[in-house]
Amino acid sequence: MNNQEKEIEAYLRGEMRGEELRAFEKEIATDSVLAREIALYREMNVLYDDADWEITDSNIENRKVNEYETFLKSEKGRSIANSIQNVEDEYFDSKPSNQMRRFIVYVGSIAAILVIGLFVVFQLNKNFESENLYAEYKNWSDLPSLTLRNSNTDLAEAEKLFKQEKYKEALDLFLKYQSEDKVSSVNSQVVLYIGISQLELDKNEDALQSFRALLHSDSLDATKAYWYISLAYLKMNQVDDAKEQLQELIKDPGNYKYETAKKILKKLK
Amino acid sequence: MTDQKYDDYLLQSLVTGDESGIREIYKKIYPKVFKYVCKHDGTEDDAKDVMQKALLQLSVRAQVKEFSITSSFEGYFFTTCKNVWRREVKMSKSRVTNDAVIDLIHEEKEIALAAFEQEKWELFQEKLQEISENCRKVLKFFFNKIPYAKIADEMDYATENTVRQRIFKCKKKLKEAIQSDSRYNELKEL
Repeated sequence: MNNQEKEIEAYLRGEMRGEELRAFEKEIATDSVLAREIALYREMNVLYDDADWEITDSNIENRKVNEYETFLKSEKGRSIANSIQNVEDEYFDSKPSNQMRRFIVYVGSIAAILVIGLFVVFQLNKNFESENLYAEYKNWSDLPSLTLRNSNTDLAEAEKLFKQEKYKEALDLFLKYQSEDKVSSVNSQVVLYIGISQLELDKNEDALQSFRALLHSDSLDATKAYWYISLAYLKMNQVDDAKEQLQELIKDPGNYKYETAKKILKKLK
Repeated sequence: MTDQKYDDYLLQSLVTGDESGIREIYKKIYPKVFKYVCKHDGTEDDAKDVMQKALLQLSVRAQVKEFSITSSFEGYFFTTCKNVWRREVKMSKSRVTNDAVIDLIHEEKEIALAAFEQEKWELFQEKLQEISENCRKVLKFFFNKIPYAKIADEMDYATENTVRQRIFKCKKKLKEAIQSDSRYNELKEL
């Protein structure tokens, strides 16, 4: 180690004091090579420390920083930021965390107990409200996400509104999408969302019509309609009609909600 | 799709803002980021924030044609996320300890600075591979603030003074490697 190297070491380790320190600082101020060297050693100390990070002064004048900033503020940069935000929203909407899942199972079992409780009440005073069943069994969170298969932004927006329970706005967008959709005459998933939005908005007859359209489509999801029509009738207190639909549903064990339908039928008897 | 093609697809989705590709990145890597951030004193919101910032930062850097990733996309991106979290921790620490008012900077500027810092960090890591293995080992200890006595012990050096000498030599070599790289000059103030 030569003399200057020794000085640099002492300086970096903070071992310089008083007169010696002042003299060395003066040297740094006048010797740009020395100054750069010290700066680099300092950078190394931070950059190679796994527990540290070098934060750049925000007033730095550097071509790259400027370019990056300009890009981020450009239309393209903003649109990419938007896409990332969209994906994030959707990812966290459709993916409940483990804790959430446990919570849902927990709430689900409480719901089941409640239903059994309600059943007992029903047996006792024959005052069972089918609307309660509707409330217990409607679970819109298990609807398939629309945006997974289609990146149409209107649909994504509509689904978001739906999840925020803004059914009116969601319905408008879904209907708009459906009227513009030339590819498939019936997009079964969208029809489901339309029907449920109508149901939530108390447009029960419209909802029934939507579900029936699904039932008569050649979509793979057509038989799901039995379930949703049953729910609609439960909501409307038309227990006999609900039963009829549920009977249709349990004719094929492969149908959506087969087990649940059997359970409800038992309770309704 | 081969691994390489899949990785290219993920990176490309960030270049263009393609949501289906970005969704894949979330599915694949967010759970790890979440675990990492939570393990290092962060919350779920922090993890979300880190993920967003890292994606945006990488998108900016990948806009230039020359940008490429030599390791796997997943490994590379996860490292970026870890660094973003280190940055956040450092920022919040300096906010707590510094009485001076820290300028509130625009998000765009912040992402631009973080991208710049990440680039520099990568260059420094790359340069570390250019010195001898022995030097690398000694310096790893040194930069992570392991006491000289312990380093002497670990590396079988007779005295602390030998350690000091060795560290200085290695640091000098590393410094020269960095200085002679033209990219380093681009990462300095104009």
